[in-house]
Amino acid sequence: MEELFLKRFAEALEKEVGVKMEDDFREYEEWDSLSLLVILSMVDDEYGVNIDANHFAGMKTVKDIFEFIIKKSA
Amino acid sequence: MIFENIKIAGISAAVPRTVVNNLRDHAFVPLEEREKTVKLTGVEEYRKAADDQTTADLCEAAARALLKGLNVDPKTVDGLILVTMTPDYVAPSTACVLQAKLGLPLAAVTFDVNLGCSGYVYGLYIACSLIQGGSLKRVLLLAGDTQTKICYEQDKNTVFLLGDAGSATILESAPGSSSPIRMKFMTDGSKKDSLIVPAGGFRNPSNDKTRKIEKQPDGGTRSHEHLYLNGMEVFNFSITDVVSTIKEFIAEENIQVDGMDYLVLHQANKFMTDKIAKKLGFPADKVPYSLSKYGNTSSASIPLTMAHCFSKLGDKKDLRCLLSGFGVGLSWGVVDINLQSTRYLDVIEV
Repeated sequence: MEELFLKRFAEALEKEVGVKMEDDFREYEEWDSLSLLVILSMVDDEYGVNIDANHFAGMKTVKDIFEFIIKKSA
Repeated sequence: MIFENIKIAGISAAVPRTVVNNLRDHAFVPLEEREKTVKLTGVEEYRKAADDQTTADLCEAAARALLKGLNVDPKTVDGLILVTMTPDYVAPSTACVLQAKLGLPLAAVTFDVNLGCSGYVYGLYIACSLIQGGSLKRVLLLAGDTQTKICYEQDKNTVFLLGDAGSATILESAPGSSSPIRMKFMTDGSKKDSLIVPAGGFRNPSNDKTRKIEKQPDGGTRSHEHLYLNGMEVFNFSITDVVSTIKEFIAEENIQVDGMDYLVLHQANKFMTDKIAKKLGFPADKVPYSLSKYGNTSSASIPLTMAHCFSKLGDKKDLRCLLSGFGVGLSWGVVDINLQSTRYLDVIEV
């Protein structure tokens, strides 16, 4: 599940080198407001989870997003 | 809510001549980023009003063409509604200015409605209410905005999306018409801050501080008198609240998606509207677009899309459409309408 999530995350951002759980996603060179929408959309499509702005503001790493999805879909 | 014995006689739209091309212009953003934005939002270009060109000018052009195209005498129009969030004046209502310019009778019921992206469907609701309950026979509904005037030219959150346009729709009392028009509306003012021009009204009057252009916490550059758009909140709102309302409406009204000819969505951005259409089960060929050419044109986007796409359909006379507008307020609505013998004029440039 973790591996698939990382794969989907990297694909959404078109990041060929892949992503890691501990990455601070806001530090990615290509990260911008559009990337955010792409990730929100991927999470909604693949996991049926919506991340609201308040929760998102507190997220720093790829893992934070993954754990939010796990918590929401539990 | 349901309305009967009303028809839409015709729809027209007018856009400014000046073209802003998202790849060619906006050199303050690197080309690679511009390409990425265009790919995602679907907006290749849009129109920008001249400094001395207003919402009323665009709507007036659309209205004149429609009155002429339908051969309607302005003296027979007994209601005029202008939906806009970018009026010509703080006072009076811009609709009053247009009543005189278009030669409508003094007795015409005339007023402005301050709404943006949900404005067209609201306008249909008000026009239908005035005809069904208010004894009017023929209402001219104008919906338009010059949003480029409230966006800072280097705010990349808005400047790749929003364009200017005006539209005109004529609704008429049509006794014996067999197609009811159904609608549903929603408002969530608690989310007002996600799409707002914070200053320049009377809550936060204009002063040197509100006019100061600076880098804002979200990364955009603008003043407090420019439009702020919180992409994340508006995105979440659109794919959850708007989709749920339309789904509820479809269930409540027992609508068969397969029986619909088109889903005409407010042209927010293609990434978002494609997603809404997919969630509602509409195939891509039933979702017309005008945004690649005209961008997100606020209250004008639905009639502009219909004029742009339906004027090419030729003789296909009956179109069962689901229309949905959503945005600033936050405010949203959905309309189920069977357009019978409606005339669609080609988009006019002024």
